[in-house]
Amino acid sequence: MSDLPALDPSPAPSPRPTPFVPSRLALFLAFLQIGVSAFGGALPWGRRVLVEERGWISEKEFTEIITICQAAPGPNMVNMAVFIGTRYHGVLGALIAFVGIIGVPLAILLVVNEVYHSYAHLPQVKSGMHGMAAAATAYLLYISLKMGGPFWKRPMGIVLCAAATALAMFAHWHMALVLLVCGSVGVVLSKRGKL
Amino acid sequence: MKGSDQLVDMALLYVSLGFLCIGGSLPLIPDMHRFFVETRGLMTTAEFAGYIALAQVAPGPNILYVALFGYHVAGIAGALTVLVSVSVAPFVTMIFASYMFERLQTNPWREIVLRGLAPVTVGLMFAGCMLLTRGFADWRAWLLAGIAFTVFMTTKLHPLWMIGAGALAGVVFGL
Repeated sequence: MSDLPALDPSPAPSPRPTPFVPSRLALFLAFLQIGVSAFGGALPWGRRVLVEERGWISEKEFTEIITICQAAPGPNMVNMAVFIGTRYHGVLGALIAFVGIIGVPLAILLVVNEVYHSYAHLPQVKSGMHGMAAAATAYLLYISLKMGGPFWKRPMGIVLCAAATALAMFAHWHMALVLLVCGSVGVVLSKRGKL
Repeated sequence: MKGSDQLVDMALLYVSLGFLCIGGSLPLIPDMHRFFVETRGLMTTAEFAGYIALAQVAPGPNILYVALFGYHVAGIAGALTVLVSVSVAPFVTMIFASYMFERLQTNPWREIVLRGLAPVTVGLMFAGCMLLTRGFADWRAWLLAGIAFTVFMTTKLHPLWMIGAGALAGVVFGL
């Protein structure tokens, strides 16, 4: 979570959203565009479409909303779709934006998957997938390291991180238990300024 | 297990995972691996890792790989079941958050909780990486992953190029 904004102790009130409200169709198309152009992470594309191209939200507001999206369960850009959709058109807007960002990419992925499986018996395809999986695993490791942010400089942060890995991997703790136990410790440490 | 039972089984898993996927879905990989590979035996670790890789090469939010797990088990119905189930908690939370935007903005606990959860989130992602390495065929896969990791760390190359290069290397060297 290294891309969390540093919290200003006295944040200036963000400018009120402009009275402009995009139509339902425009909302759908914006998130459709984000969904189909998002290769390897949707966030940069969300910023590009919503802030630079459409100008629906300010740079500052985008950062604030992403912070909320990170604190909530769910993928950041899907969360942002629901958030922005709700702002403009309530629950229906949330559904429209959600289907926009998920629907077409899902269809593309299922087609890619079918094509992959009709050639899956070829040894070359299997080899290629193994190579791809190795590179993707390395990418996951890289992203994990990048997400660490400030806690890498805190001894307690590193200990807590290692503890979570070990409990999940070697002690076979359930994910929820790891989150509850280590997360509680983390929040206490964080409150005391140790993270 | 009957088809409809499997759908309910997956729906229950993913509704609960939906509540837990703070900081993305990747920390939940150990749990999904346990479900699909270890306890239910619905796919192998290589297939499991392959689906995650496949979702990386297609456009869209990365969460879509979970739909492929569902598709593997029960076709389109499985894909939709998993995707809708995992979205229930985020969907409700974000609608609430959108209405509460102003109030959340001034709450100092938001930053405190985020900071406290960050090491745990990343620790669970490491566990996910370690699980995926179980699908590695031999030392050459480790070497390839090592090279890829070095490239990610030292260059700004778009990850897709490296994942594509990994596929090519796999074919050329017959991984």
